[in-house]
Amino acid sequence: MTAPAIEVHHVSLAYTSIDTPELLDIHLSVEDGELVSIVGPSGCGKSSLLRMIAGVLEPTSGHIVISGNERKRGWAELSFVPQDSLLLPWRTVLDNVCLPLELARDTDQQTIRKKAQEALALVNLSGVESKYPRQLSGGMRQRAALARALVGNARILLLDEPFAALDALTRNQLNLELLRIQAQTGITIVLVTHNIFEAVFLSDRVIVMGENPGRILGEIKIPLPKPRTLKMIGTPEFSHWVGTIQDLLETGWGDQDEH
Amino acid sequence: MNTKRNSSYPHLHKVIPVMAGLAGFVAIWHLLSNLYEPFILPSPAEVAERYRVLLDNHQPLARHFWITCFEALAGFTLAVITALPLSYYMYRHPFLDQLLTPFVVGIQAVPIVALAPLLVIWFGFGITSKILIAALVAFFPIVTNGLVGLKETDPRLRELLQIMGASRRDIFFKLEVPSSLPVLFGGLKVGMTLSVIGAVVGEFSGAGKGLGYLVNLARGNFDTPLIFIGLIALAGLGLGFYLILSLLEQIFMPWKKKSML
Repeated sequence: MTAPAIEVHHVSLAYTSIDTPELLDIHLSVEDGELVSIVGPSGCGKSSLLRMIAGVLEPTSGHIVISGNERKRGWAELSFVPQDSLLLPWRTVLDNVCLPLELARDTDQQTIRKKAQEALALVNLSGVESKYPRQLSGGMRQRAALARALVGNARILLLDEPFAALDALTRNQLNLELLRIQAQTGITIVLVTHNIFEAVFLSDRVIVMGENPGRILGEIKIPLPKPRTLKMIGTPEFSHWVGTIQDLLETGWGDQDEH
Repeated sequence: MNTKRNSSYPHLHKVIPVMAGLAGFVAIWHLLSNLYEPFILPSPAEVAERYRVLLDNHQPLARHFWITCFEALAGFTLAVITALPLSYYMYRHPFLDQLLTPFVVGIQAVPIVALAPLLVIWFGFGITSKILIAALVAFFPIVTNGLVGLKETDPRLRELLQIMGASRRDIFFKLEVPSSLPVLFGGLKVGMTLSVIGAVVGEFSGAGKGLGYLVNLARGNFDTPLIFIGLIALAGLGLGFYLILSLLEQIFMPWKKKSML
């Protein structure tokens, strides 16, 4: 039996004092090939949790295991797509996508460029290799960021509200692309979002978080059939799962009121 | 049709305003010169005539020009090779930043005109004191802009590169250097222009050659047209340096090319 892709063991995070933690006793597991969304209100620590998994933020207590090993920064196993595409403005699209492979220094320049072109083709962004990020639309920039995350040998993709700044149409389009890429590559995906509809549409499982302190309120499996289509969004079953998550989120508000 | 004409002469739209501005300047100068004595404001024709006489008498304007050019360029180079490492160390070590910033600001606030005579006394009337004065005035905008440019590196990009496994060296060459270039080039342009001023101030304080010396000499002889020749040569020198840096800016920052045109 293979180890889960990600195991977060009783992780807490306190920026100022241990008495007022930002995240409290987070315990979760993500299986290989699973698409899990983390949903919660702004400030509940979703992004901090993702940054801890990525290895750029140290938990105050607890530990994180990636594919059976203690996680570390700069692991080729993981790749990350931030909210703003964060492409390097001085690099062309192709050079941006090449970057993770250049940093890994494990292959020659010709192979790097070939792999980058394949990654661009995977996200349907061929033909803009020589353009600079500022010459692309918001959706194209996010596709390029996705290609950059997929170019290496990463088996786990961490997405921090990657499509939040995009218009609804582009967002839907990219959500479908993400599902296609996941089906094609079998990559494990952890998506942070505050959009419940997006979480239900994309995920195998949704982890619902509450705030003050940031904690897990519950986990909901989404048994909608795959491949998913945009038409599903209007179905009663889809609405049921959206409502279930909304109810769980509201229990978090109730707890907060009691505090 | 217009598109075709524009594509045949891609730089015409930039050259025409410059030429028109220059022609307008000369025209206004000419008109104003009619209101004053040539001793106060010589006309463009009188300045041209003085230049012709200068050439006829084999007086070495070019030699003065190249000496000032060398002093400014050497001073600027010295400023760059000292200011850039310092700005990097100040960026990497906040303690050094806190320690040196008051000195940097304080010395910058002292007028170079007041410092120049001291440097001439210390380093003599030769070219060394001029190079040092030029370096001193060019140093501060370069170190300040270098530091600001490095500090403006997006921390989110740094974090992203760390997630990708970037080393300290990778972050410097692939992120910090290119990210700070736009601000740094601003400092280099200011520093380059100031280095010309520094060289001239040095020559004013005591020299036997250079455009500053020439202007000073002309002032002593009440030779106003020669002062104008010196000023035009200095403006040309400053402009030339500025254009060279603008060209380098376009070469080193191709991603900014369109916005710079």
